[in-house]
Amino acid sequence: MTNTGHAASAAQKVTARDVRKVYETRGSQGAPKEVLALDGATVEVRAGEFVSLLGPSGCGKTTLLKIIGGLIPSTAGDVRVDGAVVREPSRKVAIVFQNFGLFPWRTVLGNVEFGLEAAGMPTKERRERAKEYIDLVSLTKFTHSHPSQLSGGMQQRVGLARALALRPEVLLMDEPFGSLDAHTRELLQFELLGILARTQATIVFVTHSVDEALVLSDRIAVFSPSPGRIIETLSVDLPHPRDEAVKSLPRYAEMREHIWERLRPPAVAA
Amino acid sequence: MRSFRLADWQWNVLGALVIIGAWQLYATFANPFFIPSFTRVLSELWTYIVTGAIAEALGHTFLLLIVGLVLGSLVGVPLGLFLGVNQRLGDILAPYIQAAYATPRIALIPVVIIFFGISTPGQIVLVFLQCVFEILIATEAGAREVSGQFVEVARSLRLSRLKTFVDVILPGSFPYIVSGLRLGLSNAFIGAIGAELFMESAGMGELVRFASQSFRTDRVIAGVIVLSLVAVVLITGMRLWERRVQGWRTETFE
Repeated sequence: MTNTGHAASAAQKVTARDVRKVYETRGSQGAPKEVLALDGATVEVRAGEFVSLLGPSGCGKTTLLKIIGGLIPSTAGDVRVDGAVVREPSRKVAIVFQNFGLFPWRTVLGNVEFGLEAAGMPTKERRERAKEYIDLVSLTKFTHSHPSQLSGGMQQRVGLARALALRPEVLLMDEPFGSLDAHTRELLQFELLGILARTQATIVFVTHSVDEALVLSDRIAVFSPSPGRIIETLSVDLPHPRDEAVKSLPRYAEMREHIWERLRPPAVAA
Repeated sequence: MRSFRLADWQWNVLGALVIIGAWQLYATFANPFFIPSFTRVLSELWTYIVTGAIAEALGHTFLLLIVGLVLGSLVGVPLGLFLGVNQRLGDILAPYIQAAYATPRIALIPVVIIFFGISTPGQIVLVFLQCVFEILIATEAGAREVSGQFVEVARSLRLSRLKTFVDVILPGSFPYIVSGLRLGLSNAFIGAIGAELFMESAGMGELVRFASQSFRTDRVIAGVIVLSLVAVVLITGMRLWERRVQGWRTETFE
C-alpha cells in the first residue's frame, strides 16, 4: 500500500479511523463471550495538539487509548502514529496510567529511569535524565523515596515524569487524575499545563470530567455511551495560557452546557 | 479505687504462671502416669538436653525439614511463577492443584512408602508433598497479581519479556513467595514429625514415640514442648523476614 491516502494528513500525528473493538472474555464456567466496546470510532490528532477523549464510564475511551498505545489490538480499523500502523507500543509514545502504575519496590528515581534502562541507556546518562524530569515535576526532595511514601498526587507526578523522561512525541494519559481528590486534581491540571508547555508532545487525554476536558484541551472528542462511538469533535476556543479564571468566561459556560447536552442520555419514554 | 492495668505481655506471663501453678498443684495429688508434675517434665527435658538426645533427634528432623523445603521451593516457586504468568494454563490446572492442596498429605504415607521406602528418602518425599502446594499456590497468586497490575506498564515502557520477568514479575512476587515459604515451613514441620512417627522411627518423632511406648508421659510432654518451641522460633523468624521484604508495601507517608 502506498502512502498517498495519508499524504494529505502529513500534519496528523495520530489517526484512528473506524476503530472497532470486540473483547473476548470468559463468562461463568470459563465459556467464551463477546463484548462490543468500540463501534467505529474515528479521531485525528495534529502534531502538538491536546485532544481529550470524553465520555461516560464504559464508553470505550480507555480502550481506544490503549489501542493507540499499542497495548491491545483493535478488531477492525486503522490506527497510525506518524503514518505508521500501530502494532505494539512505539518508542515515540509514552503512557500515563490511571492507577499510576508505579513499581512499589523501586524508588522514585528507579521508576523514572526504568523505561530508559529498558532502552539500554548508560547508567550515568539515564540517571541525569531521570533527575531532570523529577525536578520538572517538583519531586527533587523525594528522589530516593518509595512510592508508598508519597501522596496520590505526588505518585502521579512520578508517573508523568517517567513518561516524559522517555521524551515521547505522543503522550497518552488515561484518566491520570481520576483517582485523586478534587482539590489535588485541580492543582495538577494547571501544573500539567505548565509542564506540557515546556514539551512539544502531542497529547491524547482520557477523562470523564467535562471541566477537566475544557480546561486542558485544544479539542474534545465526545463519546456516546457503550458501545463507544465519537458523536462530536469540538474545538475549545478558550484563550491560553489557561488558569482558574478561564472557568468564569461566558464561552466556557456555553461549551460546558453544549457538551452536557450531548452527553445526556435520550429521555426515557414514559 | 485504682484499676488493675497490665500490658499484654504481662497478662501472658501471668496466665502462664497461673496455669503452671494449677498444673503443679493438681499433679501432686494425681496419678503421675496421667499427669506428671511440671517440675518432673522440666527435669526430663533437662536430661534430654544434657545427654544430647534432643540435639541428635532435631538433627534428623531438620534434615527432613530443610531438604524437603528446598525441594518444595525448587519445584513450587518456578512452577508457580510459570502458571501465574501463563494464566490460561493456570486456570485449567487450578482444580487439580486445589484438590492436591486440600488433600491431607499424611494420608499419602502408604503410597509414599510403596514408591520411596520408609526411610529418610521416602520421608523427604512426604515433607516435599506437604509443603510444595503451599509454596506453589502463594507464588502463583503473587505472579498473577503482579502481572495483572504491571504487564501493561511494562509493555508501555518497552521492557523485553526477559526484563519484565526479571525486573517486574520476580521482585513483585517475592513477598508472596516468602509468605508461601512460611506456610510451607509450618506444613513441612508437620510432615517431618509425621514421617518420623508413622514411617521409619527417627528424630523427634522417634523420641516422642519411644517415650509414649514406654508410658513416660513426662518425657512425651517434654518432647512436645521442644516441638512447640522449635515451631515458634521457625515461624517467628519467617514472619520477621516476611515483614522485612514487605517493607515497601507498608511504609507510610511521613
